[in-house]
Amino acid sequence: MAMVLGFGAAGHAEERTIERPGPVDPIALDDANYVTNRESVIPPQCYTRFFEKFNPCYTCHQTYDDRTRPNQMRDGHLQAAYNFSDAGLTNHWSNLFLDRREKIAAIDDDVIRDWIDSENYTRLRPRLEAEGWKGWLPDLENLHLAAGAFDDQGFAKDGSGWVAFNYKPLPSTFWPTNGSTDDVMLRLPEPFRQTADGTPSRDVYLANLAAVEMAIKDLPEITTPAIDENAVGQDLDGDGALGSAATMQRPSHYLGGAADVELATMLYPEGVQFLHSVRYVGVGEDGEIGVPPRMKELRYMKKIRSLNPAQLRSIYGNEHQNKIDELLPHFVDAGDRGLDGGMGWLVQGFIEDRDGALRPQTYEETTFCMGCHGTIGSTIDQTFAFPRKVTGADGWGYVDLKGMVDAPNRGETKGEILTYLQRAGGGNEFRENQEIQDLWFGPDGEVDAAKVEGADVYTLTTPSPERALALNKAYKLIVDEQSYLFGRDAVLAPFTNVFDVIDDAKAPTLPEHYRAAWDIRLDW
Amino acid sequence: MQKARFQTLSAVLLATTTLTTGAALAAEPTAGLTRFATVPLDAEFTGLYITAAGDLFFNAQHPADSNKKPADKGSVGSLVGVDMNNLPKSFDPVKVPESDDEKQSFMTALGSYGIIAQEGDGVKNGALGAIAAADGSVIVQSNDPDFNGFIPSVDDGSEGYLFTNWEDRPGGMSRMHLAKADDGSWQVGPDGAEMLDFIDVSGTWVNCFGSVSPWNTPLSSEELYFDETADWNNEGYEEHDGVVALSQYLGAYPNPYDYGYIVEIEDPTGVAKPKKHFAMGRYSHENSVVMPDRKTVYLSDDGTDVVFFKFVADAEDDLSAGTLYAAKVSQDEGNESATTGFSIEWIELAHGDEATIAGWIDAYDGITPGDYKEGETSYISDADVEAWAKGEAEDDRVAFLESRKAAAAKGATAEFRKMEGVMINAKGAADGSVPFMYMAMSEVAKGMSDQEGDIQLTENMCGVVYRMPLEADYNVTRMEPVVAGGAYDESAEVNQCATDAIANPDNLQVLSDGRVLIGEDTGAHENNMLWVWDPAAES
Repeated sequence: MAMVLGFGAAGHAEERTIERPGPVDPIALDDANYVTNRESVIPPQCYTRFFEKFNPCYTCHQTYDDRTRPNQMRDGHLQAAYNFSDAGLTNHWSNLFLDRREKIAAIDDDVIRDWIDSENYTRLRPRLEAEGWKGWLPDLENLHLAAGAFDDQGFAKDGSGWVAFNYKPLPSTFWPTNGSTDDVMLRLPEPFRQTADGTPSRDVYLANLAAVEMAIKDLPEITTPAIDENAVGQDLDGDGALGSAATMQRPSHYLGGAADVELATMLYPEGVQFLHSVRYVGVGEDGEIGVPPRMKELRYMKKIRSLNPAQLRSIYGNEHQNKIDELLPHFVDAGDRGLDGGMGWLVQGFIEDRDGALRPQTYEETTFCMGCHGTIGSTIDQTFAFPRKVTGADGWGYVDLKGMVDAPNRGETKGEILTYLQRAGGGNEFRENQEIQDLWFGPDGEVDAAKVEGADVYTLTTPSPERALALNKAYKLIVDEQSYLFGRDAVLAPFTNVFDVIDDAKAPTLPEHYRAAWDIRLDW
Repeated sequence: MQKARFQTLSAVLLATTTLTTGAALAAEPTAGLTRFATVPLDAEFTGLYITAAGDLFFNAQHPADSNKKPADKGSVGSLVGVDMNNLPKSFDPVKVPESDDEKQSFMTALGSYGIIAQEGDGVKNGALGAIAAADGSVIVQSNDPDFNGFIPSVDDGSEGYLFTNWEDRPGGMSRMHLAKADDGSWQVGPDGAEMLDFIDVSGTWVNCFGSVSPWNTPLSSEELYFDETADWNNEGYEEHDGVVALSQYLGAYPNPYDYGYIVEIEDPTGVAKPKKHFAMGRYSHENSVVMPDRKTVYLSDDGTDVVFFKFVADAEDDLSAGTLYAAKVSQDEGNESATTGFSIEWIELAHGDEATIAGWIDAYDGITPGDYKEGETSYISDADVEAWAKGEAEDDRVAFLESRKAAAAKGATAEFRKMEGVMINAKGAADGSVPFMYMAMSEVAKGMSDQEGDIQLTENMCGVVYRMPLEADYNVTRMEPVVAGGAYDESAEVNQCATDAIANPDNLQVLSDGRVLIGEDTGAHENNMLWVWDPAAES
């Protein structure tokens, strides 16, 4: 790459230099207290051109009439305008614009297959321990085995308390056709996994998992794998007797050892942890797309403080005030524990080093996480996947897109993916996925609704083996460069539907008619 | 230094070798500046207040949840073991926090920080920082303690009432009965703590910094931050949430002209009754400070393209009627923000009194979002402001209800950026021993550095503290920079502003010996700092 990085006289849009060196050393930059992008919370997707009608923005930016929602970000107006600070007007994600076609073509299929099929998870813990890491240590055995690490109900086989669930990936970066597969696990704190006297109990844990799902989705009742009510000591299904419960009414409090913790609508209890592995796109011998052993990233977050809606209103109020004041975002670096975005969560990520081994992300690399897990309006208590879990008993178990119906979002009738393709006008936020375009759009550029309606989520969102391998190669080049600071998207050819600089004076807005209300929850 | 850093980083990027250096940019430290204290991560210094007896109160506003306890909650407290009336002439500065433990702690050069109370602590009528609707439901639980004002109830000042703003939407104020213990710490006394009831003044909005009047009443400040009143009833306006919260508080749609004033707490040790002073104008009040003549008041306006105001009351000890002025500044030769001052002339806006202005305000009662029309306003329009400035208006409501726009229309300077605390030492100003007023400008940016209009300075993202000599009748006609922040390194992960100088000054207090306490509200220092600046070091 014939590029030279000049950091100019620090940061103004007009002083931007888009050239950069091939290799970058993010660790050295971090050690030098240096950030390349003060607005790394604005992801590349936010620079997409509307062309006056395309709206991929609605899955993040929402304003809800319901003011009891704890998420008070209320940023639906951002669907319509590039409302950035001066620093944000420059698209820092220059990896979107690099032409890597030749380099991608030069990588042999077998080489990339070997790469994605070799695991990099088990080495992370010893590496962190050797480095004296004080934060969370990977404690889910054999996660690289994907579904193999969990039993049929999603419980980790190692007894660590991690539970995998099946969810519909958020449109559209997390569709495998756009470059990555993933899985998400949660773990409730120990008292939630025990009876009142402290005895570990799977029945209690199942009941509390059902309860937290009802809290997050604001449901009155839910189905659950069979729970022995005698073990929980409570009539969960409301049938007036203690027996085996397959449904559960929403309780006022959690159960067993967590009986003193109240359910809070659309909020998790303090101490809940999430684990999210983002992986390459696995390609089986038969061309099947799946979750391979190699992780691109391992993302961890923990809720460290329970904040009620009245407390959150004050925090969101300060966020709005900072926006009015045009202040740049800043986050508290809690060291190995992660970044504190001010919403009660700590977030820490691990990403591949040049050799493909997972390493802790640098400060700036982690600030990239905070845009989505911080100050957008559509999330429920800062999370995406769990509110999108297949509801109830059927949704406990490792993620599996096969046979998953394209359920509509709550309050809608058409499938979510169908709706997304129509609103976004393409197969990803950038409208840069030609395969989706060819498969699901007609020659007139309109979505073939009848065809989409007949397909499951796997069929709709997974790439062909050829595309999958090419995406993996494209991402591997970013790993080789360690250039995550300039974008993590698997780009097969330079993007053209994306602004590299927003001209504040001339930036277009999306007409009111194309703005969309949307609920992250699904109507299964 | 800038160049050296650039070269070093270029080397890192190009060679990808491990870097061993990386020290933050060093500025020429301002003479006489000593780091006095730091607050835990993500907290800002608020509520700086020095009592007559020499006690210093201050708060940690919105600290990080990830701080170790008890530094994870908004805290009201005091510096224990230090008499600010007899602060040693020199002392070793507190270090810049380095370890996780230091970063998550209160660090002080002298004495120690004693927490008196924290957000959410139980009080007589709810919780500290909780702002409740008429039906008792909590609308906001604030973690933003701000202004402190102490009203002693005994002669030696060892007992009294501490008033603390809670900077939120709606806003609030707590009153705590405090008594000083033998060890110098303050404890909540038998009369307890409570949240004051502001419903008689239709609630308040973002109670920010403040001061105590010469007649011993707290003066809270409503930081309005609602620049375009036209959007007040526009439900599509992106920052409409606070208005809705206020509606919930009132049980009716609020009138915008009920908010944005200095709020005096009358009878502070008795019933503590709030009173809004309309005659001092409506804008984004950071704080007001009353001069020893008990009539002249200076008022700062926080935001972008804001105005410096002055008010002269008709009568002593009564802020309900008087004349409002706005500053027109002329920049001295040069443009370096750290050294370039201004001359000030005061443009008279209008004379007003509470009853008259209240009548004007009432005319906007009952307006709701149903009255909103795109491109129009249900309230005072820009055309109304222009007409008033030309002398064509029927009355002077524009001067008091849209004071910032009125000032701009009359030719005052509406270019200041994030104008913060304005303060004197009351005793020193009265006896002439400290004949200065100080003002913090959090940043010199936007309208101050855009090379247009009255102010055309070099940008200083770390801010400047200005000094104004007090003249006859407590007038001021000069404003000069005395402490400037920086150097600024936009590319730094943390501490974009050099740690041996100020960053984004906010609260100020002036000591009886003339030294100045400067508190920070900044994202550009990893730990916000409190500084003592000694003007004697200038010479």
